[in-house]
Amino acid sequence: MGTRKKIIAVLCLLAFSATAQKDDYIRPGLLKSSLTITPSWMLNKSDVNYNLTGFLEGYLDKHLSLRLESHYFMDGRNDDPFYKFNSQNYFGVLTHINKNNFDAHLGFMPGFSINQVNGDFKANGKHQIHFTPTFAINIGCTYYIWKVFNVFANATYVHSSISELNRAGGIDGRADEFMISAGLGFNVNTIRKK
Amino acid sequence: MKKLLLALLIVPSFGYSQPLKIKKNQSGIVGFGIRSTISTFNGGDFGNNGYGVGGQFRVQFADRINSEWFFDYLTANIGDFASRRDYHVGVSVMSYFTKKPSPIIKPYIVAGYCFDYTEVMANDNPGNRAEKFSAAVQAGGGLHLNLSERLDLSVVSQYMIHLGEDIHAHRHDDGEIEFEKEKGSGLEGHLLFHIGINYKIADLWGRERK
Repeated sequence: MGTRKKIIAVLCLLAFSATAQKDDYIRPGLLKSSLTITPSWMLNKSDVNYNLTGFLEGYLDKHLSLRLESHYFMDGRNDDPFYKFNSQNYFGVLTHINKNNFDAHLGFMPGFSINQVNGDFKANGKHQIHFTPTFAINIGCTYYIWKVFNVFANATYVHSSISELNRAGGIDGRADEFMISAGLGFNVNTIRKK
Repeated sequence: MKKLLLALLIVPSFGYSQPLKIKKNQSGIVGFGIRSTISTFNGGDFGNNGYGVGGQFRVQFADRINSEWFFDYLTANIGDFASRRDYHVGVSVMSYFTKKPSPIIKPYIVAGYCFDYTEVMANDNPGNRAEKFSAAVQAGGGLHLNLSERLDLSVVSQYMIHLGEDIHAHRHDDGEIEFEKEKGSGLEGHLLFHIGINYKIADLWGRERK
């Protein structure tokens, strides 16, 4: 058996052993977290943003969790992106359906963003800082590989409308986004199984 | 420091997994939450929608009566030349149609009052601004969607009437933006839609059921 076949065989065995475990990871007290890069498509303008995304989520029971999520704007695809600075923060509730180690969720998260917009200046030439109410709707799924690892994929709709912008001067404050994030997550059960 | 962080993570997870112990009755149940708001402004010539974020603290007085102490921050455009920020602090009293503590859907009517601070400013010159303090009353209806014994998603619609002076924005033909205060201009109002989550912490008073 060649080296390549051996690697494939080992990967298959690992995958089977992982899926066969059906461990009871999803239960009250489960905490999970991750940090990932999230592209976001702006729905009211032709721009794509790249965010650093982090979240911390705690399960109240198998079908309910609370989630704290933040997105920090790093750069945009355009040479002159809409945002100069943007930090979005959300806290909300997620409902889950799950089977074995697989978990899917849908959630609503109120939040806010602190942002600066390129081309939006104060009289003294500095960028204005805006505090903008926002909310997010999050849908996604998680597969628990092991007692401390999971893989996840999320899609998030963010509603944001920045007022105080010089719209007559051509800056549109509507800033809805559609975000996609995926990656490796970390989880820990903080309550022992009874 | 690490131990403190670990404790901060673990202690809430023990707390939220405990069932809510209701003592003599539902009086004394306290909770807190956060919410998003859509404000449909009907007053003024530029009735743009506003969006807000806020939080609430609930104290239940009886099986059918709850109170909600809230703070909301809202922003909105005024046409394409100015904007407004509203800060609401107040209390609403909720009256439930059922005594059941956590049915899946728990409808209620709500009424209350609030104090608010409003500032409006020209978009191209934030130094051109005006502000006002006023009081308001609000009433409407809503429902709790009880996701668990302790957690609910609440959807509320209420009409808020501001009492006292009002600020109107004018844009003159030469482009100058002027804010005008009108005393006693009456019942400027807006329709508010809230969607929020609330977590019941504990039942603080009342004797235990035997």
